[in-house]
Amino acid sequence: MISQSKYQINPDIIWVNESKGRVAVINPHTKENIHLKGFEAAMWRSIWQGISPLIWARQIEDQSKNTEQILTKWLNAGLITVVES
Amino acid sequence: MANIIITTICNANCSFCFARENAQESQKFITFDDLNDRIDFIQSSGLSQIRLIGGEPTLHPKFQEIVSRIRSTGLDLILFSNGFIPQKNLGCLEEIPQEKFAVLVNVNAISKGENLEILRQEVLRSLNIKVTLGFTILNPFFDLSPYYQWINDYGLQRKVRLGLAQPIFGGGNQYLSPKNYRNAAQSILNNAQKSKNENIQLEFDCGFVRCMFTNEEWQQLDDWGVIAESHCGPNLDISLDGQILHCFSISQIATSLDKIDSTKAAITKLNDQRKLFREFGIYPHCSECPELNNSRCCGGCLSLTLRRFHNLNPEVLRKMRQ
Repeated sequence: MISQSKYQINPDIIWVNESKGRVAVINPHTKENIHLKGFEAAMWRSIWQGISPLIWARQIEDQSKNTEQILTKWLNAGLITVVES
Repeated sequence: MANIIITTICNANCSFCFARENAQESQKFITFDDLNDRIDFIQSSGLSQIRLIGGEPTLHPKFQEIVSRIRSTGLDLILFSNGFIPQKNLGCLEEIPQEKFAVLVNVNAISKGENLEILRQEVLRSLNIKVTLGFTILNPFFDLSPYYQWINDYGLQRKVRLGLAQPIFGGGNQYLSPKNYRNAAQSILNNAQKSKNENIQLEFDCGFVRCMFTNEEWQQLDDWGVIAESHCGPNLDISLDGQILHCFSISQIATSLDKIDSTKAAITKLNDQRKLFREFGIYPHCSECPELNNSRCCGGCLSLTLRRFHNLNPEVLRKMRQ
């Protein structure tokens, strides 16, 4: 499962905490601006804080969210990278 | 407008100074060739003023020649000074007619010597009506009364320009935290009421935000004659090495004088560089605030906004402009 890996935010990616728990993520290379809210924003901050994927994956399951899909989307967009163990 | 940096040296030592990173450059004084290039640029841009900044611009060893050169253009000279102007350079400024010259003196400047304080009083006395006072708000609780006294005693312009102490992006100067803006606003209101009674006009510099004041307070400021607005745009500070900086606070947003033929083109280029960040502001709630969205508020100093971003550092910002 992809959610069992450990991730980090790509060091090139800049982002900012916004009100109501939202996060705005900017890829400086493409100048693309993505707004995350709710669960996705919490998941982004979890990766930033280095919280064990197992812990938040469990919470994700409880909320019936498709973690794998989100992680794949972010990996493909170059927003996050897998941390090699 | 565009501001020409003619020296990076200074005889003051201000903790809030936003030019202090610039002071670390190896070159200390503008050459005459470079000065002429800057003047050509300003003239071809159709501007009516030549604005000199530093460091302390009057410490340039050829300051009198610089003033003569500028007077020969027929353009107005605007000087940004700490007021500690060497006696030998005062005469050439006294000679300029009032309608062709103005100096903005920052009253918070802290001199490196006691004698300089005496000198500043002499400068104010000599230049009198050509002087407008500028006050930088670092401590949110402040009283402008002593400076109103200067205005009355020396016959200065009946105006005080208020600036918020802003951070240098990636630098280490002291600045006013946005958490203290509301306190600063209360002090501004207290001082504005006194200024109305003294027939002195207050004017806001860049970086003020709408939510510092309630709508009623904005109306009150207007009623008291305060020129109060929220704006943050490229200042076009031209460094000694020929870079046109967005402003001293964000020297990473810049373009080279070689690549630009007018101030209008420079503003377009710098606005393009900062466009990515313009929808954000200094507070997390700014991006959903109607005042920012309808451009009634600038969202505060861009340097403060940039500091909110994770992973963004001066080097990343510099790369983004390439």
